[in-house]
Amino acid sequence: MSNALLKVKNLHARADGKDILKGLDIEVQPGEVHAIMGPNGSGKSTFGNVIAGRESFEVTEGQIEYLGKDLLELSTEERACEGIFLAFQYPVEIPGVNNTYFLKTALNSIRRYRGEPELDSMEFLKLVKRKLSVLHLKDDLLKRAVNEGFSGGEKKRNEIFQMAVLEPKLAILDETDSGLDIDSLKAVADGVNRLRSEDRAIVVVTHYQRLLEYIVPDRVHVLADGKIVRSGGKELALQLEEQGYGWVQSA
Amino acid sequence: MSLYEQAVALAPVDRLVWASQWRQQAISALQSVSLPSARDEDWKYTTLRSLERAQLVTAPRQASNDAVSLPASFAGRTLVFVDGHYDTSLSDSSAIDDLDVTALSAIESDPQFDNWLGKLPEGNAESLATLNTAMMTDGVLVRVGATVADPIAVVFLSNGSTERALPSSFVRNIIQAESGAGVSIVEFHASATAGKSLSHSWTQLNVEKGATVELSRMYAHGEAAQLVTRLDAELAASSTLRLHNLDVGGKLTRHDINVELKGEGANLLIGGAYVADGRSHIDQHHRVDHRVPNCTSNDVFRGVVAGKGRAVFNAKAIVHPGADGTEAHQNNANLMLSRDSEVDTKPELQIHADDVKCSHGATIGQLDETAMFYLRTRAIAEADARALLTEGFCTEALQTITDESTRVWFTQALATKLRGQST
Ligand SMILES: Nc1ncnc2c1ncn2[C@@H]1O[C@H](COP(=O)(O)OP(=O)(O)O)[C@@H](O)[C@H]1O
Ligand SMILES: [Mg+2]
Repeated sequence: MSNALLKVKNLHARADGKDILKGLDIEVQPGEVHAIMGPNGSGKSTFGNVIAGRESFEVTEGQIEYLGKDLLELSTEERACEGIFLAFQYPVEIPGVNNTYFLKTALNSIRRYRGEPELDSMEFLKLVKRKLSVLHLKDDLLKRAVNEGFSGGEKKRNEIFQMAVLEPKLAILDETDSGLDIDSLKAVADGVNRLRSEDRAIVVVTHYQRLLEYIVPDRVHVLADGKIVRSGGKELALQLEEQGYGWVQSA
Repeated sequence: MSLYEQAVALAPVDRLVWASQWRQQAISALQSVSLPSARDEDWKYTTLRSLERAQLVTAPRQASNDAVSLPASFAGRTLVFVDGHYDTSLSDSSAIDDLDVTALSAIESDPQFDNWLGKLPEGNAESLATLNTAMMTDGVLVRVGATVADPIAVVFLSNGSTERALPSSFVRNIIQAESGAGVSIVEFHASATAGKSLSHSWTQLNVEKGATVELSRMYAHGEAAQLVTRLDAELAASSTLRLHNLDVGGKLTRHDINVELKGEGANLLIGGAYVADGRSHIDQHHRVDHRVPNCTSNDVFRGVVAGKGRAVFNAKAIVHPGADGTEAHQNNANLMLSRDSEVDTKPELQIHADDVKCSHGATIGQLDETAMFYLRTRAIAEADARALLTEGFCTEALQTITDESTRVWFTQALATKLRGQST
């Protein structure tokens, strides 16, 4: 018996004829922060994509239960409306689409789905200005096209900013730390920490231990070749930092 | 019936009586030409063959107020033509009070008109221009000598029919910006009622020394309408023409845009977007002649094809001997949303001068899967995500419209089209 937010059992997934996830298990409770670590190519981004519902990845075996529902039955946008959020490893530039318009459309889709009244432009602007300052992002970012011409750090902070606006129940942050200088890293971590709450779970996917000094996880998992090969507390991250991935992979 | 026979039967000889000399000249010229065919290089992809069998008739000249669907935010005066005739009741009463804007039907002859109405291009490829002079009923004359603050909208409505005969209208517009003048004009072409129709419009434009003209044209006809347009522009020294075209309707559309850069330092921008969905066919033919040194031309078009839609883009820039220091760029990018759609794009450069900066490029691509996924992970439904991406893709080519109320109008019309668009 569990009241898990996310329960993944024996997940197998493939893309373009290549098997990538090969029996992944993970269970996340509301309020928890998990870290998934692992070498390049181990399947971390694939996991995020599959949870978010990317159609180019095919689930060949296993189950995903989210809030007691079969997640695989839901489309990408339904999952988002149900509170799943993926911060992309490589946020996408969308020329010609205004950032404010995009985010307002997103938020209002979710509100409509939940039967809440949509926000008008004034209400929305008030909301986003508050959240922008937390991430040390400038207002002018709202006037630009989605991610277009953003620096690497701005793109990553923009992902967390979107998360702050959309207030998901389950957020997967895919290498949100990579390529950030220390100030951006702290801004991102600070933004994420403010979003920690009892009914929200966060899965931090990372390559390095560094981010976990600022976002302290409840659980750490090591992903290798499409499977979780080891799980533990936050000390596991330190151990990985010191000893590399070799010892867990061969385990 | 041949074009000549149609013209003899239908030419409105009691209209624009002062122009009858040119009308008669055109009617007799029609004796020796026929409709363009695939043998004419510029008509390889677009056929007007259905017109060969069509019986052209005049249309009823009536439209309701609702048919003039201009956005409330549009800040300018409005002139309305219905089936090629100026409609006083639908137009702003103040619209033609000033001498600078008028309907051709409201004026007497003018010695300068020989430059405009006396021009008859030759050959089958140009036969519809000749037919226009034979059949024209009305049009707008804009002649400005100073900078005009607010934009002017000229609305052309066509009634459609489900009968055998084809309602047709022929309009002629003349725009002259005198030395140092500045004006922003919108041509809005749409159907007043559904059904098939043929609308032909020919706009002639003269931008004199140092003048600036912004001409933004939108075509939003019903799905059975046929539309053929022609634009001839001449640019004098240090003048600027910003021409935008937005195509969001119609069954068959053919645009010919011919621009002569005749004075040093002239600047030309041709920008626009088209959406060819359902069974619609949209053909852009542009020709830019750089005749003198140090002029610039940019031709930037974005297109979306969906359903069984087809788009043709053929833009040619010719840099003539001696036109050194020319800068000429052409870019056409297309999004193909369905397997059954088609794009034929061919930007062309002919360079006979030195020290020029020229480039041309064309792309045909699909919607980016990653971008679609990104939007959908942000709770945006698949159809809306597709509309947002296509809109973002096209809208960039309309951002160069400097009159804000026009730009807002055009980008919203594009968005509305893409959101309701069938794939
Ligand atoms: N769309 C795809 N088609 C084929 N192979 C893919 C695809 N996406 C990822 N892969 C492969 O799957 C493996 C895991 O990729 P990924 O999940 O991105 O790993 P990580 O994020 O841990 O670096 C890699 O070998 C990668 O090349
Ligand atoms: Mg990755």
